[in-house]
Amino acid sequence: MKRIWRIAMATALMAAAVFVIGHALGSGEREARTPAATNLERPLPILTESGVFERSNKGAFLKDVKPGPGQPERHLPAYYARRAYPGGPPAIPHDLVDDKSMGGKSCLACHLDGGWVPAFKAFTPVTPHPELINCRSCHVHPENKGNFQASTFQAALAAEVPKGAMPGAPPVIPHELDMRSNCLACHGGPAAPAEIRTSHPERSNCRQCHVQGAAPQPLFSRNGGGQ
Amino acid sequence: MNRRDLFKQMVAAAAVTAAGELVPGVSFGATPKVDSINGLTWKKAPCRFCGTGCGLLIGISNNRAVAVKGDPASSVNKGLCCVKGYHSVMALYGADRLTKALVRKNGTLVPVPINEALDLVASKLKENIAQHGKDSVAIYGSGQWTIPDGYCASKLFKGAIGTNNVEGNARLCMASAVTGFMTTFGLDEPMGCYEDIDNADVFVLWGNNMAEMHPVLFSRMLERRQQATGTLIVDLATRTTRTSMAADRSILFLPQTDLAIANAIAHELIRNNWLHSTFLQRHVSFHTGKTNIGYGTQDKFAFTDEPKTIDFAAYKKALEEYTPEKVEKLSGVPAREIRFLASLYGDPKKRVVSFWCMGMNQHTRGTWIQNLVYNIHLLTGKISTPGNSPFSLTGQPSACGTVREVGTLTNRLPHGEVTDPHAREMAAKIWGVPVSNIAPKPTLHTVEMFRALDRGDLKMIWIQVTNPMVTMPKTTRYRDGLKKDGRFVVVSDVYPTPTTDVADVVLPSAMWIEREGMFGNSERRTQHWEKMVDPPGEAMSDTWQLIEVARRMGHGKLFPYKPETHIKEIWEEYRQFHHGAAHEMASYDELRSRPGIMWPYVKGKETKWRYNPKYDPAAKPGDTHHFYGKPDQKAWIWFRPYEPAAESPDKEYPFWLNTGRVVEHWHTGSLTRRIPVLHQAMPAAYVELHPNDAKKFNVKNGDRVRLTSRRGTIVLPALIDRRGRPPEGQVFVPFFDEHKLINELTLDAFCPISKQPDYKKCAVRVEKAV
Repeated sequence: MKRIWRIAMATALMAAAVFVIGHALGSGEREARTPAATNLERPLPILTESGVFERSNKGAFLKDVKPGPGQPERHLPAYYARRAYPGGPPAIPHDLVDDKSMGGKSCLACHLDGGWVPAFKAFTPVTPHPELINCRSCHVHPENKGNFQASTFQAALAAEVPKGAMPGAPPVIPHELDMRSNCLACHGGPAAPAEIRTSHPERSNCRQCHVQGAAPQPLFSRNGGGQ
Repeated sequence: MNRRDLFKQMVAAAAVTAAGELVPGVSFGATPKVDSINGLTWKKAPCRFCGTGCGLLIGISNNRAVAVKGDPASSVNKGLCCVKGYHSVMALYGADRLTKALVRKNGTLVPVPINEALDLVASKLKENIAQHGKDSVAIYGSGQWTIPDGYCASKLFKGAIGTNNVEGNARLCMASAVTGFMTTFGLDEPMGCYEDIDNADVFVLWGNNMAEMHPVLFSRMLERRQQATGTLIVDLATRTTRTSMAADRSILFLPQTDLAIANAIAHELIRNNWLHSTFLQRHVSFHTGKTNIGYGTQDKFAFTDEPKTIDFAAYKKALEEYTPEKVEKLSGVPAREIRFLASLYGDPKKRVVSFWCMGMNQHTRGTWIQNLVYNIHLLTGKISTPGNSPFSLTGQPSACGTVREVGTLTNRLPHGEVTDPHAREMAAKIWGVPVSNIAPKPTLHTVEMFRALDRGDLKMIWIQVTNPMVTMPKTTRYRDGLKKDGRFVVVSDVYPTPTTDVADVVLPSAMWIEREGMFGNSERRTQHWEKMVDPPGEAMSDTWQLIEVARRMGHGKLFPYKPETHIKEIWEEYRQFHHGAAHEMASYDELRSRPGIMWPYVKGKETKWRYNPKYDPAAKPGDTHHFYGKPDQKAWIWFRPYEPAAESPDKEYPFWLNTGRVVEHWHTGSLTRRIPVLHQAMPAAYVELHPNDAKKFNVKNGDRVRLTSRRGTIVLPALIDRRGRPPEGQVFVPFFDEHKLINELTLDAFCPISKQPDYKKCAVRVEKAV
């Protein structure tokens, strides 16, 4: 008896399934007969364009956050000293909270918004790409200072901090924007190196005035210079 | 300066002149001596570039412009500029600046004294008028004309010569905005002002990449969002851009379907009864016009609308088919997003600003889409109060001031339409010409003007401050037309361009702060600047070129202005056209002393919100609004249907081509590409592809891609997921690059009402180039 019940149930389920699938296919056909636009995708971020706005809600706040007495400013030499070459991922100069956690819970606790750390007597640098939480896939923690072999590597020189084309003109951006499109992370607030800290973090559309100047181009000329 | 210094300077100047003569067009000069930033004289000017009209302070030293800062006293930008504004003065100093007149002799342009070139222009005008009639000559100017430039052009051609062959490139830029205002309100130009930004709760951007095209206003909007929690920015667009990145909500729609979306929003407002019924009863009437109105791609295309008054019930019935579900199928926008938009407009607690620019203007149904967006604001009564504002942004610094207010379009006079006898009488009286001089019918609008040159109906054209050989859609036909025998082309410009390349006479122009002038911006603000530095060589302002030619043609009596005071004299003469509460303009002396003044300027007061009696002296008191532009004293809601684009993708040409601008460059780049900072940031045009399409064609960033339309073909480097991202099946190309003329591919279809071409939609084939 039990078996008959089971067979009956299975048959009923199969019939139902056939009906449902058939109906779905049929309705698909019906829809296909009316020429319809497929819905357009929800716009996804364009990484090099979106970053500029990401911390803009913090800009007005950052304007008033400045190193106080006894809080040393960072400067560019220290900033570059953390990197093997300009644009390279900085190494982690402090002990790790937890050697195996993802950055979302550990690193970002401090590096998302920054702040003064009395133990290090320093302001925490803010990451320009908080969406990437596997921090330590790029940022390593040097365990000792020795070398296996000496290296003859010579790093590229850092871009000079650009001046405007004339007094008062906004300087160009001397670096690429990939992974570094979030301007205020590095240029705003007390952890920003003094040389590159913006005087006006409350202006949120940085690239309205500061354009790319990373790869110098030949000057425009009508016979081909702009090609 | 002692004698020894003077002598040294004279020797240097002589050497520079000699070198200049050896290699014409290239300036040789020792590095000029300039003061330090703290020793400069600062003078005010509106920015040379877009229609925002930012106030700038120009640092002057030793007859050179050497620095720029935003004018903190300007209510437009309050001290902030964009990258073009900050570098604007560098546009004066490109090494190939035109400093001498050029005349084509045996096929090549050779330098001549400017008086000889002006004689030739005048005699050619007279010769053509004598042989072929007054309608055989034309002037084609620009929204970058100063107000006195446009005024003199109109007075010379419409008043003295007697032809309505006067157009401005603003026909390509905001003609649909004008016809939109005229059909809905009966009067041109926005009712609100930039202060709407500081008062709005919701911003809906209709096809408008404001982050790049109106960056200073965009920043003001972001600032509003920062200060007022809950402020919402909705980007309703055909392509993902920097603007989408900053918006709270980004909605993509398929090209041309904005017409259906606007109707669906109106449909939802009515269905939910989200209407402002007392406003509707008192201030709105309902109308409809012709449908299936064509695209103007044939020569001599003509169209006249036949407006019919209907009632609310008929309007509601006509909207019935625009349900969000049906429009979803057409537009690709989910019905819930359409309902979301309707709920924003329909919420009586929310103040809403709609912004648009070229997306709605460069549209074969450009007038209609303006009507439809006004409908939404009128149904909800969200208009002419602070923060409630349908706001048409303008592309050029004086598209409003010169083209719209002075009326440098074939159908316009400085006050009113040429078809209106009162407008002709007023012009005749102020100009001092017989009323019979002023032709009562419009002649050629821009596209038809260039077609007439190609056909040979038009023999001579004088082009000032614009570069149509880069900007005309279907450029190849019009370039070939200009090169034909029997055509005479005069071009006034500051640099050599593809348009000077086809000229018979090139007149070197004094640019911007090298002469005195006024611009009028998007919010009805007139802004004056004085001459700050001398123009190079024999360069002469466009105003003075026109005066010189008018005098040579025997019209000197109409142009009695003195060199030192001509701008003041012209302004005070022109201002008479606008006397009265609806248009009154400020005096020359007031304009000179302030960073800008909005008209109507009545009894020392600017009018911030027109049609609102609280702010507008022309509006009858006693009610919230008074729409005094139309004979029935009402704002007109129009039923306008969705109609497809002139050319849509098909099997052979399966992609949509969209064209536009970038933040770094001004229009065709003839100025901004000569500013090293801007050129280096954006050195060449590109084609944006969706990453999936790029994959399909096996194209990486920088690979060469060929685009082909029915009109032309071009190879461009691909740009994938950088500045912008079009949806699948669409590509985008900026038009600033004279080496990559994308307009050779675009279609010269236009809005039959406004005659403005649609640069945003045509069909192309995409291939990887080998």
